[in-house]
Amino acid sequence: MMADRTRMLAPYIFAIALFLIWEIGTRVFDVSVYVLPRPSQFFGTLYEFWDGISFHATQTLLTTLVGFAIGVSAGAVLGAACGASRTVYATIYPALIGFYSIPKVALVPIFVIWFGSGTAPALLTSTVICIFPVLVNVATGVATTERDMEDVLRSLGGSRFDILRHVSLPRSLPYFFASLKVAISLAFVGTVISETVAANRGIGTMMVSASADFDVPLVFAGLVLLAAMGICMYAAFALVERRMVGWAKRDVDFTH
Amino acid sequence: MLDSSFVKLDGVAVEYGRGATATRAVDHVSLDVAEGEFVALVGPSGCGKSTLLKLVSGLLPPTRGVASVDGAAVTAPLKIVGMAFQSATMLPWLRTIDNILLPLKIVEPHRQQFRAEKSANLDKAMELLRRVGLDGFEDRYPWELSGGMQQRASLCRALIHDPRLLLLDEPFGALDAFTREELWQVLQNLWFDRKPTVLLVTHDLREALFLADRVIVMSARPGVVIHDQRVGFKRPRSLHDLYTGEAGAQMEELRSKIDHRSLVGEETA
Repeated sequence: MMADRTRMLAPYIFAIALFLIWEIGTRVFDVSVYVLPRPSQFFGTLYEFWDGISFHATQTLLTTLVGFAIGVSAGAVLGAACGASRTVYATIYPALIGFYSIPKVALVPIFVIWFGSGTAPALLTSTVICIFPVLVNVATGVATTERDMEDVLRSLGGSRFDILRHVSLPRSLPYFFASLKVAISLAFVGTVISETVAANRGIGTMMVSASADFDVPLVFAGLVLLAAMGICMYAAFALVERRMVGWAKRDVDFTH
Repeated sequence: MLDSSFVKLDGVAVEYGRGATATRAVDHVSLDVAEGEFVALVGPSGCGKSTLLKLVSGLLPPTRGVASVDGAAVTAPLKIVGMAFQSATMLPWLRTIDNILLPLKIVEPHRQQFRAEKSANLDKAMELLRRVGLDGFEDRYPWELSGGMQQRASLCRALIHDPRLLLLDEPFGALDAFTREELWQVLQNLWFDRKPTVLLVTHDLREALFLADRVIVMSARPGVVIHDQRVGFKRPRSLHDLYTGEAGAQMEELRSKIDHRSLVGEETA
């Protein structure tokens, strides 16, 4: 019991300790606010200007979530197709790798040309950045389905679609959820990158204008807020994952 | 058709691979099995016993010859077939009961009526679970069950759609001796209930004697039929019967027909 409780509290204690050391260190060595602001400074900024900051944060969060949802859906569908059909895999996979090798920052100017600056390029950037990790994972999950399991359905006259639906797709769910945790972090990266280049709202925009004003605490407030949102989304998906695919870990809690 | 056999293999051969590297798994196998008959296939590992089951099930096409079931050549998996494998291959994301119901979601005409007949299906599955001694475990996940219990569940899944032909590929091969003997009796009882035609692949001679009407012995690769023995003694059989009286003579005959060299095959020849 004691060990459980310690493990529950440990991450919070670690985070607080980190900020404490940071605070003490910057005070002891008298570090300039322009180099590294103290946690008390940027948490203060966060509190003081919360109304303005939350406006940008909401923008970034919503953009990211919508882009993520679209990207994940596309990735899951393409991944299932690649995993289920060798022909599809052989046809589109090389092109996908080529596409994924392009730095997503390089796409932002193109999106801006097409859709103008603002929400659209940010949303699209987070979408395209999410597709690949989900695709690769789902394709792996589907393609590595054990022959034995497929044979259970094949011997009953099950079609390829039956096998996909009843065996390969449920089997790939643990891979899917693992990829969601990677994709959500990447989605934030995509949104913020685009916002720093071409937008008039969002945390990315806020941070760029803050740094132009040498308002370093505000820049750090933005960073901390991004980290916090990332952690929250990650935790949410970890929770859903436990609920949905506890069977993959043979999790006893899952069965009750 | 004049032919009364339910399962018929006519000069079948199966090769894996092509050209010079092709491996012949079975060769010139001809076999007739009557409806309702329980036939055991025994032989050394790699003699193509499982290949024969795959042929009959339609999972694998023969390179030469014809496999037919119920008078028609097998070209694709049949809906009258139930299969159980050496590994129970339960789907880990489904509870035991849903694993057992799975064939009804796939096989016509059950799949059309699956929702409509939900409660009847459930009753049927529960009855099967009771028959194999798994009642109370229906809501467990397969990975919460022991190997023997998973194999019992796998038998239930093979039987849920009342197949006329039951194909068993070493279903008890991975179990300990006590569990295995218990499951022989379970399987015998299940067979008595419905009298499906059964093809059982095993390398346990006692298992073959206990369960089968006929034991067919195959040689090492490429597998050919080298002996076909009728197991005459009474049913239902008990484990006691297996170690006394007639079974002893049957075992003796079976053993004597199994030429050791032909079982070990060309690898040591």
